[in-house]
Amino acid sequence: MMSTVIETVQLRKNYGNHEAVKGLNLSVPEGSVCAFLGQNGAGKSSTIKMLLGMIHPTSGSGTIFGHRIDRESESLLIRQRVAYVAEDKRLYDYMSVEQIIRFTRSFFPRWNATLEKNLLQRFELPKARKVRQLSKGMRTKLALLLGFCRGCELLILDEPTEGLDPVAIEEVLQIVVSLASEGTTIFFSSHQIAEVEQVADRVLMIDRGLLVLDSTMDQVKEEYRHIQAVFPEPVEERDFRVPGIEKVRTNGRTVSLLASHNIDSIVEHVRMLRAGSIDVLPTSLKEVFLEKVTARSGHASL
Amino acid sequence: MVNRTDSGEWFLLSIARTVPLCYFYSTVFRKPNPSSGVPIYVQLKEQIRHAIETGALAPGDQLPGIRSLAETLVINPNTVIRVYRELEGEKTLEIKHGLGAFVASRRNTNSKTEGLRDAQQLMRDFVHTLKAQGLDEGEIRRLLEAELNEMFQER
Amino acid sequence: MLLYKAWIETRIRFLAGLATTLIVCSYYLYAHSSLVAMWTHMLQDPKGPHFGWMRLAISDYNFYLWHYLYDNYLQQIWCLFAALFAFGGLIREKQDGTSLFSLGLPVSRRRWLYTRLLVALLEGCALAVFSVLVIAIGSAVIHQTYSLSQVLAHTALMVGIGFFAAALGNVFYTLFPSNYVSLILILAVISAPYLLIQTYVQHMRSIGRSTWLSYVDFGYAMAGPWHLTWSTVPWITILVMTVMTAILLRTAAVYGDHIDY
Repeated sequence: MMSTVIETVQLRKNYGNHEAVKGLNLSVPEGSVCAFLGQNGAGKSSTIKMLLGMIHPTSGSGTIFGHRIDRESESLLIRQRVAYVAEDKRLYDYMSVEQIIRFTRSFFPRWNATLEKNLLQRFELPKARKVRQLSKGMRTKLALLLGFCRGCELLILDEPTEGLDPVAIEEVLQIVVSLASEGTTIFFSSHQIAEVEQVADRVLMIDRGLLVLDSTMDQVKEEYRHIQAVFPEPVEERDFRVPGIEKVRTNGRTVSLLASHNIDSIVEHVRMLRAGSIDVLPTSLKEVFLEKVTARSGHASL
Repeated sequence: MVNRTDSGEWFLLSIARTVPLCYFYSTVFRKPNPSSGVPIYVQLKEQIRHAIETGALAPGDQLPGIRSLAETLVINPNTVIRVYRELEGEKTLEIKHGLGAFVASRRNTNSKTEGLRDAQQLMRDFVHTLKAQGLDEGEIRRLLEAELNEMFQER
Repeated sequence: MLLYKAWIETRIRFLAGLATTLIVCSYYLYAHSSLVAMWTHMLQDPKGPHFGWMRLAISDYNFYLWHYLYDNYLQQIWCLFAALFAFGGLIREKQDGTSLFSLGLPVSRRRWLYTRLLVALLEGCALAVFSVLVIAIGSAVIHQTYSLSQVLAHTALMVGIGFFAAALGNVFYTLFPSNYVSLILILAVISAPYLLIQTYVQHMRSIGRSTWLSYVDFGYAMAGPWHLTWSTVPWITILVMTVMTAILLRTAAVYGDHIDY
């Protein structure tokens, strides 16, 4: 049994009347590469900022390595063991690349100097140049370097590859994989499904402040199915209330279902409705994401 | 240079190792397609099996380390671990602790894995035939289960 | 490293502070002889303005220094720069988009705050010491002798009470989004009453009247009586201002802990 690194219970955050996070129960096991997937404004950054003590939960609680996230003194201990790279990758303009590296490294006794040298080369970061004079992509790379080299047990990355070109994205993912194989737990938010599918082994999906999926990547691929059926007569959505069906789309005599489990019973049910043809197809994380997210949008508009 | 190998130096070493090996791996392994419905671990397992079948990997050959394979293919290291473990369970690979993963000697693979593979192909053809005759999944399953129950309970 | 960061952020302001101090101090040392000549002339003229302090300023160089520097221009400049040195912090960084990077480091919000204020205080002290240096060199150049102990005592009083300006500025920077527009507004809000009260109370005092406003005359407190002795040091004022400064710092710290970034 692996231990849990991040755990939250009914974590909630309101900004005035706006509920950004609505009672989140997260659990990230040690050693995993856990993706935190959601649209912009779904509550990803708010959750991450709560984890690191940058914003205060309205209610609920959470721990990282057993330390309470809502206590400043414990939050300090958390930040010694967690490397965080924010969504906003701007850094101190007035420092040079070398200065900001020296500055950051002074806070982390287990700073990985070899990785630093290596990444400076790979990312082609000019040491003497001021942060102000770096391009946006370079700044992102520098911010990531400052996170990767901290030698921390947990890496929390908020949209790490935003604004990077495909080659740089692949490099960043490669470093993530490399750190993961050293035993670092990685929790990263993203709305880039392709990169999530590539490196993550766990996926958490958040939509409008609510967790809509918490699963392993393999589980998603092995258990989620797309079922298409054609009926002799037109059918309606309410004909498909079976456990395991996540989303129903009907169009006259055809129906398209997204199922998370219980596939056999669902197929049986569809057959009972006298379907002419039934196709059970594998589905991708992208489809699951789109269905989950639009499903919730649909409810919200009712 | 300090005579000490901390994790950072390992990283460098692994990069250095990756460069020549990368080329070799790319002839044996392809980057799995994450967007296909097939889990990455299934894709990787198929690649390794295929490499053994075609002779690209011979019995006794060492497979790349978990970390270098994960880095080269840019996939989750836990996926590599899972694949190696499952292939070990199927006697396709042998894990020698501290040394790495090796392709199992043919005696093992011949008797069990290849036999199973042939059986799998037979089964596949059989199901295809039944399907072509208009039987659906549930029907085939029921027929098969009835047949299996009869055969193995009689014994 | 936090000190280093706070220093790089404020070093330009600090250099500007040094330059301004140099200009103001050396100007009034340079102008000493002409001002003395002017007052002597005024006093000889029966219709000219006669103020009590003129005789003293002519006869006592120490009073002259106090009158122009510690009771007026040097004090004002020091306050302005102390408030400027304290400008910055996490709220300011939020505007620049770097606050999350800073908060991601294992440093408490209070440590961020206190380090910054410590650097502001150190820079303030350095500025004050620099002014003493200018006075020492300048006085030698114009062949005037002064009491070093008086100058040092006034400098200490100015810094000790004046740190209130930095603390007050800091509270404003914590409460309001710290961009440059709000900086100018804040400085105006702090300095307008300061200057008005100081001028008004000075005027009332010169015509021999007292007003309750003298209790909030922060500038007067910083200047103290012109001749400082153990008995004339305004101990109660120092105590009150220290308590006020502590309350302001505490307010900023407690409020800062609750901000969502």
